[in-house]
Amino acid sequence: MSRTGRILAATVALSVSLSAITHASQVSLSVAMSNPVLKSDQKQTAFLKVGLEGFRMPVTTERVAVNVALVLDKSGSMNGRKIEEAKQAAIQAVRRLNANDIVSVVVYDSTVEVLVPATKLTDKDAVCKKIAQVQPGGRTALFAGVSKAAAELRKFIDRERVNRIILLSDGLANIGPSAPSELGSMGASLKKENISVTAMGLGLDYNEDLMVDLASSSGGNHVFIEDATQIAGFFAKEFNTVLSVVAQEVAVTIDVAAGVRPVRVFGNQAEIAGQKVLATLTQLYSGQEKFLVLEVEVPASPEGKARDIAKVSVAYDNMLTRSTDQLAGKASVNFSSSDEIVASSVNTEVLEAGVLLFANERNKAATILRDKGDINAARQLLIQNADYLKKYAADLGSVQLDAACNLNTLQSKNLDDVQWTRSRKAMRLEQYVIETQQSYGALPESTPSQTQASQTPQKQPAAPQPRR
Amino acid sequence: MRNKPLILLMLIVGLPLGGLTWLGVRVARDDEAALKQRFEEVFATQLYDIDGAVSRHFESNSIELRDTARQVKSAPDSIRALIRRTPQLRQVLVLDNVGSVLHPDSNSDLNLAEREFLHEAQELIRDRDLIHVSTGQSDSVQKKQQAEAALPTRGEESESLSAASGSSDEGWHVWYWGRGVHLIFWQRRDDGKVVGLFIERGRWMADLIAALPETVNRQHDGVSVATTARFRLVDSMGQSVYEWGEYEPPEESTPLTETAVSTPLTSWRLQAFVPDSLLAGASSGTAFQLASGIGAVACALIVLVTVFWREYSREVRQASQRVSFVNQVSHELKTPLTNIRMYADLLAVDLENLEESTGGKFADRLRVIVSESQRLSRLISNVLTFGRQQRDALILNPRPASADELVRRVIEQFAPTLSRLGFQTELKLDAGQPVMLDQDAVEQILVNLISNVEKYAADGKLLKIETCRDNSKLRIIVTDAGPGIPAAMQRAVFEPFVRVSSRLEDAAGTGIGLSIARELARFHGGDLTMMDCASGASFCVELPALEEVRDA
Amino acid sequence: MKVLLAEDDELTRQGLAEVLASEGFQVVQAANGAAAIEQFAASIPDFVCLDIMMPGRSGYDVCRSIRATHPDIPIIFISAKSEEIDKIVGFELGADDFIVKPFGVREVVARIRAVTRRCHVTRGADPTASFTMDDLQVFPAELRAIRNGQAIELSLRDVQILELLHRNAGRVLDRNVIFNHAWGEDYFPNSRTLDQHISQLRKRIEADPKSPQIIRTVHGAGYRYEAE
Repeated sequence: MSRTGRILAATVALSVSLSAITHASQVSLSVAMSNPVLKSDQKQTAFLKVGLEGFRMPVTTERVAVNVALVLDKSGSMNGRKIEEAKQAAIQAVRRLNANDIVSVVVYDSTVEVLVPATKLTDKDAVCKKIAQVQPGGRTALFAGVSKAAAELRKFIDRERVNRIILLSDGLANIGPSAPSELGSMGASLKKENISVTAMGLGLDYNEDLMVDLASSSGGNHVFIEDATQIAGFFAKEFNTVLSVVAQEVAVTIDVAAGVRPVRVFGNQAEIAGQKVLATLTQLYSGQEKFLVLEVEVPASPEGKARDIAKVSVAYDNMLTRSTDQLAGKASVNFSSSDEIVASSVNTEVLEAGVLLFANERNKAATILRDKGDINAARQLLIQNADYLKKYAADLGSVQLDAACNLNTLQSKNLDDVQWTRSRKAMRLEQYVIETQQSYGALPESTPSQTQASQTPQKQPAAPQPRR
Repeated sequence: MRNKPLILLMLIVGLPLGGLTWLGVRVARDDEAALKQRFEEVFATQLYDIDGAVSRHFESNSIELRDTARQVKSAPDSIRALIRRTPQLRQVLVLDNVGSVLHPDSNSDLNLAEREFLHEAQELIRDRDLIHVSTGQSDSVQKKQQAEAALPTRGEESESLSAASGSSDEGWHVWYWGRGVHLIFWQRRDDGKVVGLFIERGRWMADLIAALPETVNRQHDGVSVATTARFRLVDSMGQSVYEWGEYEPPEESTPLTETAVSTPLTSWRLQAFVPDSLLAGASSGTAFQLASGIGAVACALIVLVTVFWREYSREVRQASQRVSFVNQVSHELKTPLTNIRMYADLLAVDLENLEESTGGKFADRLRVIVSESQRLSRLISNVLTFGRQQRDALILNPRPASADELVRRVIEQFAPTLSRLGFQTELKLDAGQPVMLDQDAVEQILVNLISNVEKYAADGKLLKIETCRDNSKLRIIVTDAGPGIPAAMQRAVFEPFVRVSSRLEDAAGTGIGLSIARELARFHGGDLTMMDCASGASFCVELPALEEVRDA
Repeated sequence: MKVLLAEDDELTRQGLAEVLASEGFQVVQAANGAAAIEQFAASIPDFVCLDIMMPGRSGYDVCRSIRATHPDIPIIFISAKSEEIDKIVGFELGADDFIVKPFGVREVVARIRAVTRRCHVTRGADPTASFTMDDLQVFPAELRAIRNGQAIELSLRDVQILELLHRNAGRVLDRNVIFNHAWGEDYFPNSRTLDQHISQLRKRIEADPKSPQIIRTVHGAGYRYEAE
């Protein structure tokens, strides 16, 4: 490695550190390239990672008030254990809230009943009593249930609050709109109102695509609850996140420098128009890191040239200070003909995120192949993906990539008809968790029933390699 | 046969009850139909009101969208920002006055959503639907809609289609793509540009659903007719979009009433489902009245019939008691009568052995005793036979017997009386071989016929008895030379208790002799008929002549 | 011939016994069922007349008991029970006839004669066997005689008398001889009984009963048949 290369690398590192602004009650922004030094004289792609980390909410501070609508499926299939667990979980959740919070409870089967219209939670007992009285029966008018819940939320919609619909369903929506696109369309619309939907699928009969689309389009969480006994646990986790929101409506704007082409943003939360990339993250939780990874194509440049890649600006509602804060950052690269310098400059953290998301896309592709019935192709792709992840896990020493590698390997073994209903849900969940950096939702480790497919990988790191 | 009165009584109860029930059911059915019609009207009105709510929803929505449309500037970024901040807005289409797309401009940098949108909407853009609609050139939209919907739509369609505000420079356009109806709110600018706001399909459906009522649990609220029904909003494919109301109609059930939704969702329908039990339940008042009415009549009839039946059965019981008493007595009478007859006979034999001079007078008197005791025997046996006949206890016991011998025996029995009365007896017996006969029955027939001759035709002084065999028939013909029987009476004489003359001074008799004789003959597989004859009366007993070789 | 007569009504029994006796039967009487069975065993009659309703054992019982050992003996039921079902039971038990009370002597006689004829037949007597007395042809088994094609009913006793006379044609038969033959030795005779019977018989069989040709009186001695 030449001296020049080292200097270049140092410069890049400095610029990166400068672009990161940290403050006790500020969201921290980090903007970094996977390869701060690129090989000169060739067109290539690289990852740009925009990271946002929620600050720690001071313990003494009063937490943010929430506006929550619980939507419970009470269709006939919920009969028995499921509805009882769901009711208990909902009651426990309500008990955690206080009089500043707004709660509404909507239950649905073939039709919708607004069990508790949106109200300040001054009488918990009354709300809990109503929840306890729910009796299951009928079909599944999921769309209408969410529609009514949204209407309830809207009654007290407030930028100062966390607005969240928490949907629990165990079945296929069979009354009213039921296509993932229709639910996604509604979710996208709700997101603009700062309403996100957390979609919890219970058992093995729900439509995970529909639930994922609803959650992802609205910026909510998605979970797969295999056993009714886990409902309360997931409700608790969900409320943990809801109650720890530190920033909302986090609007990220990336202005990509001229000459550099934005290729894609992983996940569906961003839109790219020309050189501008826009993304909105609904919420940022206390201490949580969320990031966007943008793949960019950098034109061939001569050695030694420094090139700006992008400027990043972020605006968000600070839930602690009740103000709209602005953040800014930028990324640039240098070029070197030395492979060694280029290699040593690699930002493992960015590369790791890029590899993870890239592999995630391929994991999605494998799901689609399997949906078409091509089990072999899906298996091949997953094995290929695992190899890819394994390489980068090793190169980068990444625990996360190694885990993802193991997961892909395991998934490749669970594509047969018998396991597919369940594996597919698990896959979709993992994809979603990776894509949105959801703070919880991986299948709980403790549950014995999932030893087969959901194994949480915690081995050594691996290594990546994005496309050229 | 003894059940006949019971069956009759049951009919007396059953028929009017059946009729009443039938009538009642018809009335109830008419009531139900009328009720159903009333329900239909009620629910049609409700649907109309609901549709009104839908209309108002879209109207207020269009007012919102009018402002949104006005904010549409030409800069793509500003449009994108507008879309980002307007929840229901999916995409914006800006066209110039001839329908060329100004935004999203495929020549500029478009985001993924815009590119997808242009692809989706290419047909709409090519056909210049929005231009046609906004310039009022075409009702093609309507045609299209109606073709899709194939349902009658309410009037004012074109107006409301293009008129949130009454002006004709903005309105709704319905666009069928992908999974169903998509809504576009269009606005024509003064410069001829047309702005089309494409509404998020998931959103406007959600908002529409939110604008409609939800199911109200009756645990918490009072029960109303509406909550026990089911209302359903169905799309142009007939798929349920949203429903409310507690009643869960069975699948494939047909709505009580339905109506088309007004603009813009003219291909959609609102349906009302009502449980059959509601219709039945509402008419349960009538049903109850009906049931209680029928019940009351049934009770009255049953009481009446019970009284009747008890009265009747008491009479029957009494009658049968009387009959059995008569039977008993008759049987009891037999023993003394046997002895009287037998000893009279024996005495007669003794007298025959006396000198004519001393015995003659005694013999005459004894003959009276003998013939009267014979008469008494006949009476008793007729009474008993009649009794048996009345209670279906007649049984025959045919055995081989010679009819001629039988006739001779009977004649011998009557001989003293007949000779006293000066009868000339002519026998012409040619019955041949013995045949299967119940001797007692045949004897009773003959005895009855001969005693009739003796009673009613004594003036004729002639008794003629012929027997003959004709193939399988045995005939015994008893003829007298008496006054005969008037033609009018010929049929009636065979009825029990009918006598040709009921004048007291005429010969005594019970009036059951011929009836029993005929009954016995018929029972024996034959018949007893009257034959035409010049004078007097002639009765023919016809019996089947079955020869049977009796085992030794 | 011997007849067992079982009848609980004494008058009826005695009357019937007289009728049967006058027909030429030796009559054994029984006043109830048990006695009837005893008497039957003791005397073995040629036929039996049974009343159905008797104290103790009924006529049916007696009938069954008799039929068990003597299936061929003719039995006549005499009863006030005239229900057909009773007759059927009777016939089922093997009765040969059924005489219903009240009855006249002539009827009884006719039926008894009919049964007697059947008795003869079942015992192997030839019904066509006959003998001729003057212009009268006598059929003993048939209890019948024919003159000029005209049938004449005869009693068993008539036949016995005629047979005796025919066998001893041309000889004068002493009254006692005839009496012992036709009535039996233990019959306590009425001095006029034989003469009265002959007189009655002549009325029926003689062409002119005033000047009898078949049974001629031999004054002070008896009767005689003179064969041609």
